Amino acid sequence: MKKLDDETLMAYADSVLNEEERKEVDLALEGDAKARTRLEDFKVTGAAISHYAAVLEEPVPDHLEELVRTHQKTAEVVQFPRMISSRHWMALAASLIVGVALGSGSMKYFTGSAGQDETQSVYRGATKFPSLNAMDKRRSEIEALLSELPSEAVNLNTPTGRTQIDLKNGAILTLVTSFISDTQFENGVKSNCVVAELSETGLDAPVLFVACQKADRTWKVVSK
Amino acid sequence: MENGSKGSGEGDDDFGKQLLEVYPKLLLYARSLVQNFADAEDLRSKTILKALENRHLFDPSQRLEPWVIVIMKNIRNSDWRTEKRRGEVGDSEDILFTPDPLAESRIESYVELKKVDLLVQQLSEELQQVLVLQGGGLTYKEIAEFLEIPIGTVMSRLSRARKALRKLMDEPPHDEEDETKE
Repeated sequence: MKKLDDETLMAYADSVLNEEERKEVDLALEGDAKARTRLEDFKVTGAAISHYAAVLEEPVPDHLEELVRTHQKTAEVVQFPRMISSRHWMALAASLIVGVALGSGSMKYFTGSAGQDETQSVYRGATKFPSLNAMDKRRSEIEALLSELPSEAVNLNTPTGRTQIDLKNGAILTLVTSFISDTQFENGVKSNCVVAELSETGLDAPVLFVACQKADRTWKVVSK
Repeated sequence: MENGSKGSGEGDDDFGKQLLEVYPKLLLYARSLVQNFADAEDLRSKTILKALENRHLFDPSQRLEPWVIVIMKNIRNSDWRTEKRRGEVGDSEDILFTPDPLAESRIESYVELKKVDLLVQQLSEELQQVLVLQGGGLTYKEIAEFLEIPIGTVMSRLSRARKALRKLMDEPPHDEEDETKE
């Protein structure tokens, strides 16, 4: 008679035994009430953990499709910040995108749902980045630019929103809030961080980096 | 890199396509490697960024999923362990997936998952791993390959994990026995 150990009963409950093995277990179960109870327990837990499969139904956020499909293999990418300690599970599907076009002159920003650019205001404060090759050299410029933005232009708490800031021609900066995390840096001071993608007219290789907004609403670019 | 100039050719398109396809499953893998969904989301985000950063190293003749899993495990095994202190993060209260209207039809499943995950979090790491992976639909063999352990060990851990989970489903959270965390 088949020995009804836990692994065998579990495999039976999971329907992974072959026909011959199943028949042996069926036979053994007939005279073993305790084993039938154990089998039911395995079925109960099998049903319970099957809820993890819900994860696989998660839709791919629009912004991630944008990010992946537009990103070239030659892109420069700087390191994600250390000491991430996200508590923003709810931000899973958040897809605020902030676009910044850099050049000389005035800057517009747009907000709204993905795919519907609607100009809401015009912001002045142009910055021109000389090069995309040395991220560190541009860090202070990017930080200054972001910090100059009006608060309504970069609302990290807005789910599924889109904001674009236009500085006429030049670079495009996209901030993706689905990656928002409470990040600890600089002596444990927490900031909200987003993944940012910077591209510039004439270049096909965007730069990925992380920008964090501190409590005083100023920004810090986090890189290697 | 001299030969990194394929631009947005077919190889790149396929890389992006495969990365998007594996995106949901990466959360399951990540949850098996860390202790809650909040940390899992962080780990997945880091993994995706790292994959994009290193896409020029990917051999397009191979499947992307195993390559991305290696990246995820490397992140988990290097800086993650020192950055994360178990129990420090991961609001149990926040383990509802998303306010996204698209998720409304699945909300019932998410509520049930939340309940189960709160129980699973009380188990030891190695028991959590096998439960999460099996719950996500992986076979014993696939779990063994992911965790790089023998299939017999997978079955042993799974049976212990499910017995422990069964007890937790019936008992108050603080009345668990030896298979649960300290």
